[in-house]
Amino acid sequence: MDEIAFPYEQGMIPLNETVNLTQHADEGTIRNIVWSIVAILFLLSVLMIVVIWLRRTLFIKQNQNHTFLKNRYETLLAEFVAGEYEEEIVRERSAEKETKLSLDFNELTNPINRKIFKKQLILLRKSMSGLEASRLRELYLMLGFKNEAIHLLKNSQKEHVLIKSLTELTLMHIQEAGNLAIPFTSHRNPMVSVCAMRAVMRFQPDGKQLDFLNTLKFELTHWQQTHLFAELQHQSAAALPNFARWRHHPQASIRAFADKMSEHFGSSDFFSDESEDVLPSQVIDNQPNKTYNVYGQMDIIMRPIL
Amino acid sequence: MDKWILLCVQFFEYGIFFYCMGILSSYLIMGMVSARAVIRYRRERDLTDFNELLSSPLLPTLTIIAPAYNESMTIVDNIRSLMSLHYGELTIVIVNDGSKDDTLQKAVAAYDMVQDHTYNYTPTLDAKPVRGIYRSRNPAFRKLLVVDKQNGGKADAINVGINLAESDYFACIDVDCIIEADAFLKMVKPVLQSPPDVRVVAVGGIVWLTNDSTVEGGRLTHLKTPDTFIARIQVIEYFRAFLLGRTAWAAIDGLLLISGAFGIFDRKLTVEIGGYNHKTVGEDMELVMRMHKTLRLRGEKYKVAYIPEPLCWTEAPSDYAVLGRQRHRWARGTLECLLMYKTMFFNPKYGVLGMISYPYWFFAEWLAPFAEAGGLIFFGILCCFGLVNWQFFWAMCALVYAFAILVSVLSIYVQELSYGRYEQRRDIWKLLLTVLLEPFVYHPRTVYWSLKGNYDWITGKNVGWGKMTRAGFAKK
Repeated sequence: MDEIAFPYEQGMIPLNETVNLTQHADEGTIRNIVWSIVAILFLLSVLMIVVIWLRRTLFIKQNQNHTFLKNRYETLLAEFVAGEYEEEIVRERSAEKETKLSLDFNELTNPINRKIFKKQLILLRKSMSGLEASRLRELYLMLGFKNEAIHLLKNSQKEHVLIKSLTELTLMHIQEAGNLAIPFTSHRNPMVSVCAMRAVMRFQPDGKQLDFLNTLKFELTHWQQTHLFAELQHQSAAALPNFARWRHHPQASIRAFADKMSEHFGSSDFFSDESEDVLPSQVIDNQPNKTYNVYGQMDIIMRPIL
Repeated sequence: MDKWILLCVQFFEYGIFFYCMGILSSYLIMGMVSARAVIRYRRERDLTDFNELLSSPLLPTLTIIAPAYNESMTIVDNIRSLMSLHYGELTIVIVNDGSKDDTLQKAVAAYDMVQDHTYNYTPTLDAKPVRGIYRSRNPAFRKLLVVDKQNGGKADAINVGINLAESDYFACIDVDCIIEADAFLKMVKPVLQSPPDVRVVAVGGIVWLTNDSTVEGGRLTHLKTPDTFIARIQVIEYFRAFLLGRTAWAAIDGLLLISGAFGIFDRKLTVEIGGYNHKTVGEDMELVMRMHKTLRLRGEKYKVAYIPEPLCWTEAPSDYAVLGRQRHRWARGTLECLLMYKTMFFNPKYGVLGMISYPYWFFAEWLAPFAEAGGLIFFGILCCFGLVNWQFFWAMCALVYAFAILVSVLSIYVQELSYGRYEQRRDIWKLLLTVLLEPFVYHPRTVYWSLKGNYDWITGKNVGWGKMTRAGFAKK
């Protein structure tokens, strides 16, 4: 192999070392690689800047369009709720073809417009009750939003889509959501499971709202407990389930939740041994169960001796 | 001899090259991890109705502890801002840390407060004596408590606040920060969402800068890029640290630091482990590291969570002297914490913390200024001996510069993608221009401040907190 004097620095002090030609050639290659990386990095930076710029430009235009549509639909819906569109006429027209529902609703065939309209409809529904709310519900059904939400709930894997569909169906008081939501009560995402639990609680018959707790695959988090409590608060005292049913539940968090709810809603039979519907197949040992309460403190919850 | 020189040259060349590439690559990886985490968080946040939590009796109780030292100009507005925060069971404790001005008098007068002689103060944590505890006669301010104590520093003041707190969690904040109204509802979400056998011991959030922005009624109404170069650079630094860095560390359960300006902590655990440490200027990092160490050794399941959303706004130092003192303190704090918990270094017993987080802090945070300074000295020596391969030198400079630019642009990009808080397009252009200048104009100073912080620590020179002057939000 050819050997040459080490050209450590071309035209500078040689170090009287020897290296082979391949090594010398490598220096140039490495330098080229470095410059290529530099070019790629700068290109990536420029690309991100372009995306920022494009996003800003598009975002401003899109935002303007969305704001215009939001305001427009808000007015339209307010007029509808106030009865300026006769319900009968709307229904009649909707029976013919959705696009003929009313001139004002024609544009809802466009997916973006439809999405914004639905958002406004739901927002308005949140702040309405009584006759106005039922009119909005009617409109929701007529425009086919219910079928879309149910379709997404059955077919989508995306968590945010599931959350949206469940929330929407619950808010619009779609009874079918009660049964459709049951499998999602054990979903790994706490947000999905909470929405499903609320849907089930809303539509299951009185006294059976919390039956899903019997089959729950995980410990109940405080997040879930908080939302279940919020849902229970909206229900009449007579419709509340008997919390004593969960006093022997194998999961400590469910027992603790039942205990808290019983205390809060003043269930007198909680500590009674005569409580009905005690879970049949519980495997409960008498070991203390270590858990943390919402305060981050360690609780020692003694499991009852059967 | 020549052989040794060559070996030495090669060691520095390759050593520094791989060190730089390692650090810069870690920044890029963190950027990608955090971008994913932020987008996921935002999507979930948009679907959450935080107002539902407000009326829940299951919400953990919270005490906000805000130490105040010579805050006479802004104390009344700051308390008003804190009183308007949305949370169920909330107590606000303002600790007047022996202010030399009329901070206490102003707070007492504005909120119709009187000294509560009946209060039985029994300190569980070691702290300077309390001179008085004040409560308001007005029932509208029943959740406010003002404590007057001897001056003892921030850690000492927080310990007094913890001694007075009875809540499940306490929040440690800087009194002059602007907190988003629903910030604490968002902060307790990880606490509520954690499985029952996992204890959430601390939650941090993003702190961002508001220099030259519009603040009305204690709320940020219009965010603007700061006018001064020094403040703009810090905005980018905060993007990198809070949005890219800490979000990524939290995503892999390796968060070692929650900013002293904004975080909530498990009160019971904090008391158990002795509260804030007075002996370090990095008391915020030290507390989190102590929590990690205690719980790891106990074998308990726990989590240090992080909310990747700007929930707290503060003002950055706007002159180099004040900024230099701050960075000097940060450097010393880092060194002190790393030394206190040196047993974590590459210790598999501490999992991600021992194997990744601690080594990262050691190599990328603490060692970086030394490596940079060492590199410069080495370069100087090579120049003297005419040993510089200039072609390679320029290529390497370009590489480091390109990497630095990329990481900063990435942080702006993630900010845009996630929150896009800057309304004007020119704000973003200003930030991008600042990014180009940062490596030349600003970075060498940060290296100097870090080295000085370390040097002063070694020589035992105690610089303390120094006077932090701020323009103040109230003026705007």
